[in-house]
Amino acid sequence: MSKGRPLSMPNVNYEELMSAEIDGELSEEERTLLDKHLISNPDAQSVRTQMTKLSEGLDQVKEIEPPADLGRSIMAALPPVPQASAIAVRPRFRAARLSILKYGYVFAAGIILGLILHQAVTKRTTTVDLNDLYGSMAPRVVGGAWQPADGMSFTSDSLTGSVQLAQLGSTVVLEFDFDSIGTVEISVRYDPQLVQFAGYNQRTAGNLSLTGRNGSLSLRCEDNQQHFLLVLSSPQKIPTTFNVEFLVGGKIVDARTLRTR
Amino acid sequence: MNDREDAALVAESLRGNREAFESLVNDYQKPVYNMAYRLLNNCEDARDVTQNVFLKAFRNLEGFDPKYKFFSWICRIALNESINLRNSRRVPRGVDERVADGRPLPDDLLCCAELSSEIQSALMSMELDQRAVIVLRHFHHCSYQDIGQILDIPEKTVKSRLFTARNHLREVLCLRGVL
Repeated sequence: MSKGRPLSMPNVNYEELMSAEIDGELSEEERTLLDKHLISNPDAQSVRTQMTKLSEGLDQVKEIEPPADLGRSIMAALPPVPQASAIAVRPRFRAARLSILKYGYVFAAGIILGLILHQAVTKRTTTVDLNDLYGSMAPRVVGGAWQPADGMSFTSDSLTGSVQLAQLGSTVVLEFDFDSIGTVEISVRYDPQLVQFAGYNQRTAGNLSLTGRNGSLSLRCEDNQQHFLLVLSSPQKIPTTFNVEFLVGGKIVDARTLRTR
Repeated sequence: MNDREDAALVAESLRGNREAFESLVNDYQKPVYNMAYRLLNNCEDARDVTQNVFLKAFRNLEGFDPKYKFFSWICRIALNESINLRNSRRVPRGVDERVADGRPLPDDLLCCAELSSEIQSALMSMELDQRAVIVLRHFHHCSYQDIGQILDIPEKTVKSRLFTARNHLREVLCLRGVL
Protein backbone atom coordinates (compact mmCIF):
# COMPACT_ATOMS: atom_id res chain seq x y z
CA MET A 1 0.00 0.00 0.00
CA SER A 2 1.24 3.48 -0.76
CA LYS A 3 2.46 4.82 2.53
CA GLY A 4 0.90 8.11 3.55
CA ARG A 5 -1.81 8.02 0.85
CA PRO A 6 -5.21 8.89 2.30
CA LEU A 7 -7.73 6.09 1.96
CA SER A 8 -11.43 6.62 1.74
CA MET A 9 -13.33 3.90 3.54
CA PRO A 10 -15.55 2.65 0.70
CA ASN A 11 -12.54 1.94 -1.52
CA VAL A 12 -10.57 -0.08 0.98
CA ASN A 13 -9.99 -3.72 0.14
CA TYR A 14 -9.33 -5.10 3.59
CA GLU A 15 -8.17 -8.47 2.34
CA GLU A 16 -5.56 -6.70 0.25
CA LEU A 17 -4.49 -4.87 3.40
CA MET A 18 -4.15 -8.25 5.14
CA SER A 19 -1.93 -9.45 2.32
CA ALA A 20 0.19 -6.31 2.59
CA GLU A 21 0.34 -6.84 6.36
CA ILE A 22 1.99 -10.22 5.82
CA ASP A 23 4.71 -8.47 3.82
CA GLY A 24 5.12 -5.69 6.39
CA GLU A 25 3.94 -3.17 3.81
CA LEU A 26 1.18 -1.46 5.76
CA SER A 27 1.34 2.25 6.48
CA GLU A 28 0.26 3.45 9.92
CA GLU A 29 -2.94 4.78 8.45
CA GLU A 30 -3.68 1.45 6.78
CA ARG A 31 -2.87 -0.38 10.00
CA THR A 32 -5.37 1.77 11.87
CA LEU A 33 -8.03 1.17 9.22
CA LEU A 34 -7.48 -2.57 9.27
CA ASP A 35 -7.51 -2.79 13.05
CA LYS A 36 -10.77 -0.85 13.25
CA HIS A 37 -12.32 -3.07 10.62
CA LEU A 38 -11.24 -6.24 12.41
CA ILE A 39 -12.68 -5.16 15.77
CA SER A 40 -16.16 -4.89 14.35
CA ASN A 41 -16.04 -7.77 11.88
CA PRO A 42 -15.69 -11.44 12.96
CA ASP A 43 -15.62 -12.65 9.33
CA ALA A 44 -12.67 -10.40 8.63
CA GLN A 45 -10.96 -11.75 11.75
CA SER A 46 -11.44 -15.24 10.41
CA VAL A 47 -9.97 -14.31 7.02
CA ARG A 48 -7.02 -12.65 8.71
CA THR A 49 -6.39 -15.76 10.81
CA GLN A 50 -6.47 -17.88 7.66
CA MET A 51 -4.09 -15.48 5.89
CA THR A 52 -1.68 -15.63 8.81
CA LYS A 53 -1.85 -19.43 8.91
CA LEU A 54 -1.30 -19.57 5.17
CA SER A 55 1.73 -17.32 5.45
CA GLU A 56 3.16 -19.44 8.27
CA GLY A 57 2.46 -22.59 6.27
CA LEU A 58 4.22 -21.18 3.23
CA ASP A 59 7.21 -20.24 5.34
CA GLN A 60 7.36 -23.79 6.72
CA VAL A 61 7.65 -25.42 3.30
CA LYS A 62 11.04 -27.06 3.26
CA GLU A 63 13.64 -26.67 0.56
CA ILE A 64 14.30 -29.71 -1.57
CA GLU A 65 17.83 -30.96 -2.04
CA PRO A 66 18.77 -31.11 -5.73
CA PRO A 67 20.26 -34.38 -7.01
CA ALA A 68 23.80 -34.85 -5.74
CA ASP A 69 25.25 -35.04 -9.25
CA LEU A 70 23.46 -31.96 -10.60
CA GLY A 71 26.39 -29.57 -10.25
CA ARG A 72 28.79 -32.00 -11.93
CA SER A 73 26.28 -32.65 -14.65
CA ILE A 74 25.84 -28.92 -15.28
CA MET A 75 29.58 -28.34 -15.49
CA ALA A 76 30.04 -31.33 -17.81
CA ALA A 77 27.45 -29.94 -20.22
CA LEU A 78 28.97 -26.46 -20.48
CA PRO A 79 30.75 -25.39 -23.64
CA PRO A 80 34.48 -24.70 -23.32
CA VAL A 81 34.07 -20.94 -23.09
CA PRO A 82 31.19 -18.68 -22.09
CA GLN A 83 29.32 -16.67 -24.70
CA ALA A 84 29.64 -19.28 -27.43
CA SER A 85 29.01 -16.67 -30.06
CA ALA A 86 28.82 -17.34 -33.73
CA ILE A 87 32.32 -15.92 -34.12
CA ALA A 88 33.74 -18.44 -31.69
CA VAL A 89 31.82 -21.33 -33.11
CA ARG A 90 32.34 -20.82 -36.80
CA PRO A 91 36.00 -21.81 -37.01
CA ARG A 92 35.11 -25.14 -35.43
CA PHE A 93 32.47 -25.69 -38.05
CA ARG A 94 34.93 -24.79 -40.79
CA ALA A 95 37.31 -27.37 -39.39
CA ALA A 96 34.44 -29.79 -39.21
CA ARG A 97 33.70 -29.43 -42.89
CA LEU A 98 37.33 -30.21 -43.63
CA SER A 99 37.26 -33.24 -41.41
CA ILE A 100 34.20 -34.52 -43.15
CA LEU A 101 35.93 -34.13 -46.49
CA LYS A 102 38.45 -36.69 -45.27
CA TYR A 103 35.56 -39.12 -45.39
CA GLY A 104 34.48 -37.72 -48.73
CA TYR A 105 34.21 -41.06 -50.44
CA VAL A 106 31.79 -42.35 -47.83
CA PHE A 107 29.89 -39.10 -47.79
CA ALA A 108 29.65 -38.87 -51.58
CA ALA A 109 28.55 -42.48 -51.86
CA GLY A 110 25.95 -41.80 -49.24
CA ILE A 111 24.65 -38.76 -51.04
CA ILE A 112 24.41 -40.61 -54.37
CA LEU A 113 22.66 -43.54 -52.78
CA GLY A 114 20.55 -41.13 -50.84
CA LEU A 115 19.45 -39.30 -53.95
CA ILE A 116 18.55 -42.57 -55.65
CA LEU A 117 16.79 -44.06 -52.69
CA HIS A 118 15.15 -40.82 -51.69
CA GLN A 119 12.89 -41.12 -54.72
CA ALA A 120 11.53 -44.34 -53.28
CA VAL A 121 10.82 -42.85 -49.92
CA THR A 122 7.32 -41.47 -49.84
CA LYS A 123 6.88 -41.09 -46.15
CA ARG A 124 9.32 -40.25 -43.40
CA THR A 125 9.42 -42.73 -40.62
CA THR A 126 10.61 -42.40 -37.06
CA THR A 127 11.48 -46.08 -36.98
CA VAL A 128 15.18 -46.17 -36.34
CA ASP A 129 17.09 -48.26 -38.81
CA LEU A 130 20.83 -47.85 -38.89
CA ASN A 131 21.33 -50.29 -41.70
CA ASP A 132 20.32 -48.17 -44.65
CA LEU A 133 23.00 -46.22 -46.46
CA TYR A 134 22.06 -42.60 -46.73
CA GLY A 135 25.49 -41.16 -46.09
CA SER A 136 25.95 -43.49 -43.21
CA MET A 137 28.98 -43.61 -40.95
CA ALA A 138 27.04 -45.41 -38.27
CA PRO A 139 27.83 -48.89 -37.03
CA ARG A 140 25.70 -51.68 -38.35
CA VAL A 141 23.01 -52.74 -35.90
CA VAL A 142 21.09 -55.89 -36.66
CA GLY A 143 17.58 -56.55 -35.42
CA GLY A 144 16.10 -55.42 -32.14
CA ALA A 145 13.24 -53.14 -31.23
CA TRP A 146 14.17 -49.56 -30.55
CA GLN A 147 12.64 -48.09 -27.46
CA PRO A 148 11.58 -44.45 -27.69
CA ALA A 149 12.95 -42.67 -24.62
CA ASP A 150 12.31 -38.96 -25.02
CA GLY A 151 11.71 -36.33 -27.64
CA MET A 152 11.17 -32.69 -28.42
CA SER A 153 9.30 -30.86 -31.11
CA PHE A 154 9.59 -27.23 -32.09
CA THR A 155 7.74 -24.79 -34.26
CA SER A 156 9.02 -21.29 -34.86
CA ASP A 157 9.36 -18.89 -37.76
CA SER A 158 12.79 -20.25 -38.59
CA LEU A 159 12.65 -23.87 -37.49
CA THR A 160 10.05 -26.64 -37.45
CA GLY A 161 10.55 -30.29 -36.66
CA SER A 162 11.44 -32.74 -33.96
CA VAL A 163 14.19 -34.72 -32.26
CA GLN A 164 13.52 -38.23 -31.01
CA LEU A 165 15.70 -40.12 -28.58
CA ALA A 166 15.58 -43.92 -28.82
CA GLN A 167 17.70 -46.67 -27.36
CA LEU A 168 18.49 -50.29 -27.96
CA GLY A 169 20.77 -51.99 -25.46
CA SER A 170 23.84 -49.81 -25.14
CA THR A 171 23.16 -47.91 -28.39
CA VAL A 172 21.39 -44.57 -28.23
CA VAL A 173 20.11 -42.69 -31.25
CA LEU A 174 19.09 -39.07 -31.63
CA GLU A 175 16.93 -38.68 -34.71
CA PHE A 176 16.72 -35.14 -36.08
CA ASP A 177 14.01 -34.29 -38.56
CA PHE A 178 13.36 -30.64 -39.32
CA ASP A 179 12.85 -27.90 -41.86
CA SER A 180 14.54 -24.56 -41.44
CA ILE A 181 14.94 -21.19 -43.02
CA GLY A 182 18.66 -20.54 -43.25
CA THR A 183 21.59 -22.27 -41.66
CA VAL A 184 21.01 -24.12 -38.41
CA GLU A 185 23.70 -24.91 -35.88
CA ILE A 186 23.06 -27.70 -33.42
CA SER A 187 24.92 -28.48 -30.25
CA VAL A 188 24.55 -31.80 -28.44
CA ARG A 189 26.22 -32.24 -25.07
CA TYR A 190 26.40 -35.28 -22.87
CA ASP A 191 28.44 -36.79 -20.08
CA PRO A 192 31.57 -38.17 -21.77
CA GLN A 193 32.05 -40.61 -18.93
CA LEU A 194 28.79 -42.29 -19.84
CA VAL A 195 28.40 -41.74 -23.58
CA GLN A 196 30.62 -41.92 -26.66
CA PHE A 197 29.87 -40.82 -30.19
CA ALA A 198 29.59 -43.80 -32.54
CA GLY A 199 28.53 -42.37 -35.90
CA TYR A 200 25.88 -40.59 -37.90
CA ASN A 201 23.38 -41.57 -40.53
CA GLN A 202 21.87 -39.18 -43.05
CA ARG A 203 18.35 -40.02 -44.13
CA THR A 204 18.20 -37.28 -46.75
CA ALA A 205 20.99 -35.89 -48.89
CA GLY A 206 21.84 -32.58 -47.27
CA ASN A 207 24.83 -30.41 -46.54
CA LEU A 208 25.63 -31.41 -43.00
CA SER A 209 28.93 -30.82 -41.24
CA LEU A 210 29.79 -32.40 -37.95
CA THR A 211 32.53 -32.01 -35.41
CA GLY A 212 32.94 -33.58 -32.04
CA ARG A 213 34.96 -33.50 -28.91
CA ASN A 214 34.70 -35.31 -25.64
CA GLY A 215 31.10 -34.94 -24.52
CA SER A 216 30.10 -32.52 -27.24
CA LEU A 217 28.94 -32.64 -30.85
CA SER A 218 28.40 -29.62 -33.07
CA LEU A 219 26.55 -29.73 -36.34
CA ARG A 220 25.94 -27.21 -39.06
CA CYS A 221 23.05 -27.77 -41.47
CA GLU A 222 22.98 -25.61 -44.55
CA ASP A 223 19.94 -27.02 -46.29
CA ASN A 224 16.35 -26.35 -45.50
CA GLN A 225 15.40 -29.94 -44.90
CA GLN A 226 17.37 -32.29 -42.68
CA HIS A 227 16.73 -35.79 -41.51
CA PHE A 228 19.62 -37.58 -39.86
CA LEU A 229 20.57 -39.72 -36.90
CA LEU A 230 23.37 -39.35 -34.39
CA VAL A 231 24.43 -42.69 -33.02
CA LEU A 232 25.97 -42.90 -29.57
CA SER A 233 27.10 -45.65 -27.33
CA SER A 234 26.24 -45.85 -23.66
CA PRO A 235 28.06 -48.98 -22.48
CA GLN A 236 27.05 -48.65 -18.84
CA LYS A 237 23.36 -48.53 -19.83
CA ILE A 238 22.48 -46.13 -17.05
CA PRO A 239 20.07 -43.21 -17.55
CA THR A 240 21.79 -40.14 -18.87
CA THR A 241 20.94 -36.81 -20.45
CA PHE A 242 21.58 -35.03 -23.75
CA ASN A 243 21.43 -31.27 -23.94
CA VAL A 244 20.30 -30.28 -27.40
CA GLU A 245 20.46 -26.68 -28.61
CA PHE A 246 19.38 -25.22 -31.92
CA LEU A 247 20.91 -21.93 -33.03
CA VAL A 248 19.80 -19.83 -35.98
CA GLY A 249 21.85 -16.75 -36.80
CA GLY A 250 24.01 -17.46 -33.75
CA LYS A 251 21.03 -17.21 -31.38
CA ILE A 252 19.49 -20.08 -29.45
CA VAL A 253 16.00 -20.77 -30.76
CA ASP A 254 15.38 -23.95 -28.78
CA ALA A 255 17.19 -25.87 -26.06
CA ARG A 256 16.05 -28.99 -24.27
CA THR A 257 17.40 -31.82 -22.20
CA LEU A 258 16.52 -35.30 -23.43
CA ARG A 259 16.87 -38.29 -21.16
CA THR A 260 17.43 -41.98 -21.69
CA ARG A 261 15.66 -44.56 -19.56
CA MET B 1 25.80 -15.09 -1.93
CA ASN B 2 26.96 -11.50 -2.09
CA ASP B 3 26.12 -9.33 -5.09
CA ARG B 4 29.64 -7.97 -5.44
CA GLU B 5 31.16 -11.43 -5.17
CA ASP B 6 28.72 -12.70 -7.77
CA ALA B 7 29.65 -9.91 -10.16
CA ALA B 8 33.33 -10.76 -9.66
CA LEU B 9 32.64 -14.44 -10.31
CA VAL B 10 30.80 -13.55 -13.52
CA ALA B 11 33.73 -11.40 -14.63
CA GLU B 12 36.14 -14.24 -13.86
CA SER B 13 33.95 -16.70 -15.73
CA LEU B 14 34.00 -14.43 -18.76
CA ARG B 15 37.80 -14.54 -18.62
CA GLY B 16 37.54 -18.31 -18.99
CA ASN B 17 37.79 -19.30 -15.33
CA ARG B 18 35.48 -22.30 -15.11
CA GLU B 19 35.98 -22.62 -11.36
CA ALA B 20 34.42 -19.18 -10.95
CA PHE B 21 31.33 -20.31 -12.81
CA GLU B 22 31.32 -23.53 -10.81
CA SER B 23 31.09 -21.40 -7.66
CA LEU B 24 28.01 -19.72 -9.07
CA VAL B 25 26.55 -23.12 -9.93
CA ASN B 26 27.25 -24.36 -6.41
CA ASP B 27 25.69 -21.27 -4.85
CA TYR B 28 22.57 -21.10 -6.99
CA GLN B 29 21.72 -24.61 -8.16
CA LYS B 30 19.62 -25.26 -5.08
CA PRO B 31 17.42 -22.13 -5.27
CA VAL B 32 17.02 -22.54 -9.03
CA TYR B 33 16.13 -26.23 -8.64
CA ASN B 34 13.65 -25.42 -5.88
CA MET B 35 12.08 -22.62 -7.88
CA ALA B 36 11.64 -24.91 -10.90
CA TYR B 37 10.27 -27.67 -8.71
CA ARG B 38 7.74 -25.38 -7.06
CA LEU B 39 6.65 -24.09 -10.45
CA LEU B 40 6.52 -27.45 -12.24
CA ASN B 41 5.95 -29.94 -9.43
CA ASN B 42 8.26 -32.50 -10.96
CA CYS B 43 11.81 -33.37 -9.88
CA GLU B 44 12.95 -34.50 -13.33
CA ASP B 45 11.65 -31.32 -14.92
CA ALA B 46 13.26 -29.24 -12.18
CA ARG B 47 16.56 -30.94 -12.93
CA ASP B 48 16.25 -30.30 -16.66
CA VAL B 49 15.32 -26.68 -16.11
CA THR B 50 18.21 -26.13 -13.71
CA GLN B 51 20.65 -27.63 -16.17
CA ASN B 52 19.31 -25.51 -19.03
CA VAL B 53 19.29 -22.38 -16.88
CA PHE B 54 23.00 -22.61 -16.15
CA LEU B 55 23.81 -23.53 -19.72
CA LYS B 56 21.94 -20.47 -20.97
CA ALA B 57 23.43 -18.29 -18.27
CA PHE B 58 26.93 -19.43 -19.24
CA ARG B 59 26.28 -18.82 -22.91
CA ASN B 60 24.87 -15.36 -22.23
CA LEU B 61 27.10 -14.21 -19.38
CA GLU B 62 28.05 -11.08 -21.30
CA GLY B 63 24.41 -10.10 -21.16
CA PHE B 64 24.43 -10.01 -17.35
CA ASP B 65 24.24 -6.45 -16.04
CA PRO B 66 26.12 -6.27 -12.70
CA LYS B 67 23.88 -3.47 -11.49
CA TYR B 68 21.23 -6.17 -10.98
CA LYS B 69 21.48 -9.18 -8.70
CA PHE B 70 22.80 -12.34 -10.31
CA PHE B 71 20.06 -14.22 -8.46
CA SER B 72 17.37 -12.05 -10.05
CA TRP B 73 18.89 -12.59 -13.48
CA ILE B 74 19.13 -16.33 -13.12
CA CYS B 75 15.64 -16.53 -11.59
CA ARG B 76 14.26 -14.82 -14.65
CA ILE B 77 15.95 -17.38 -16.89
CA ALA B 78 14.57 -20.14 -14.65
CA LEU B 79 11.07 -18.74 -14.88
CA ASN B 80 11.24 -18.55 -18.68
CA GLU B 81 12.67 -22.06 -18.91
CA SER B 82 9.92 -23.36 -16.64
CA ILE B 83 7.26 -21.68 -18.76
CA ASN B 84 8.81 -23.11 -21.94
CA LEU B 85 8.94 -26.59 -20.47
CA ARG B 86 5.42 -26.39 -19.13
CA ASN B 87 4.17 -25.22 -22.54
CA SER B 88 6.09 -27.94 -24.37
CA ARG B 89 4.52 -30.62 -22.17
CA ARG B 90 1.10 -29.14 -22.94
CA VAL B 91 -0.32 -29.81 -19.50
CA PRO B 92 -3.54 -27.79 -19.37
CA ARG B 93 -3.09 -24.60 -17.41
CA GLY B 94 -4.59 -24.49 -13.98
CA VAL B 95 -4.73 -28.24 -13.64
CA ASP B 96 -3.31 -29.88 -10.57
CA GLU B 97 -0.40 -31.73 -12.15
CA ARG B 98 -0.42 -34.30 -9.38
CA VAL B 99 -3.67 -35.45 -10.87
CA ALA B 100 -2.57 -34.76 -14.42
CA ASP B 101 0.48 -36.98 -14.43
CA GLY B 102 -0.90 -39.57 -12.03
CA ARG B 103 2.22 -39.54 -9.91
CA PRO B 104 2.46 -38.73 -6.22
CA LEU B 105 4.17 -35.56 -5.19
CA PRO B 106 7.75 -35.97 -4.09
CA ASP B 107 6.70 -34.19 -0.92
CA ASP B 108 4.37 -37.09 -0.26
CA LEU B 109 7.12 -39.56 -0.90
CA LEU B 110 9.47 -37.75 1.40
CA CYS B 111 6.82 -37.65 4.11
CA CYS B 112 7.10 -33.89 4.50
CA ALA B 113 4.51 -32.03 6.51
CA GLU B 114 0.99 -32.50 5.22
CA LEU B 115 0.58 -28.75 5.00
CA SER B 116 3.60 -28.48 2.70
CA SER B 117 2.14 -31.10 0.45
CA GLU B 118 -1.27 -29.42 0.44
CA ILE B 119 0.33 -26.07 -0.27
CA GLN B 120 2.27 -27.48 -3.21
CA SER B 121 -0.87 -29.09 -4.54
CA ALA B 122 -2.80 -25.83 -4.13
CA LEU B 123 0.03 -23.95 -5.84
CA MET B 124 -0.39 -26.19 -8.86
CA SER B 125 -4.02 -25.14 -9.14
CA MET B 126 -2.94 -21.57 -9.82
CA GLU B 127 -1.87 -19.81 -12.97
CA LEU B 128 1.90 -19.85 -13.33
CA ASP B 129 2.29 -16.07 -13.00
CA GLN B 130 0.53 -16.18 -9.63
CA ARG B 131 2.49 -19.25 -8.58
CA ALA B 132 5.69 -17.39 -9.40
CA VAL B 133 5.03 -14.47 -7.05
CA ILE B 134 4.27 -16.83 -4.17
CA VAL B 135 7.38 -18.89 -4.84
CA LEU B 136 9.62 -15.84 -5.09
CA ARG B 137 8.16 -14.10 -2.05
CA HIS B 138 7.76 -16.99 0.37
CA PHE B 139 10.34 -19.55 -0.70
CA HIS B 140 13.07 -17.20 -1.90
CA HIS B 141 12.24 -14.21 0.29
CA CYS B 142 12.50 -11.76 -2.59
CA SER B 143 11.50 -8.14 -2.06
CA TYR B 144 8.76 -6.55 -4.14
CA GLN B 145 11.50 -4.80 -6.07
CA ASP B 146 13.32 -8.05 -6.81
CA ILE B 147 10.11 -9.78 -7.84
CA GLY B 148 9.29 -6.83 -10.09
CA GLN B 149 12.69 -7.13 -11.78
CA ILE B 150 12.45 -10.88 -12.22
CA LEU B 151 8.93 -10.81 -13.61
CA ASP B 152 9.35 -7.48 -15.37
CA ILE B 153 6.29 -5.98 -13.74
CA PRO B 154 5.81 -2.85 -11.57
CA GLU B 155 5.96 -3.25 -7.79
CA LYS B 156 2.32 -2.26 -7.58
CA THR B 157 1.45 -5.24 -9.76
CA VAL B 158 3.62 -7.48 -7.57
CA LYS B 159 1.57 -6.40 -4.58
CA SER B 160 -1.81 -6.95 -6.22
CA ARG B 161 -0.70 -10.26 -7.75
CA LEU B 162 0.47 -11.46 -4.34
CA PHE B 163 -2.90 -10.53 -2.90
CA THR B 164 -4.77 -12.41 -5.65
CA ALA B 165 -2.50 -15.43 -5.33
CA ARG B 166 -2.76 -15.61 -1.54
CA ASN B 167 -6.49 -15.20 -1.67
CA HIS B 168 -6.73 -18.06 -4.16
CA LEU B 169 -4.48 -20.25 -2.02
CA ARG B 170 -6.47 -19.40 1.08
CA GLU B 171 -9.75 -20.30 -0.59
CA VAL B 172 -8.41 -23.58 -2.00
CA LEU B 173 -6.88 -24.61 1.33
CA CYS B 174 -10.07 -23.64 3.19
CA LEU B 175 -12.14 -25.76 0.81
CA ARG B 176 -9.81 -28.68 1.47
CA GLY B 177 -10.16 -28.16 5.18
CA VAL B 178 -6.49 -27.34 5.66
CA LEU B 179 -6.94 -23.82 7.00
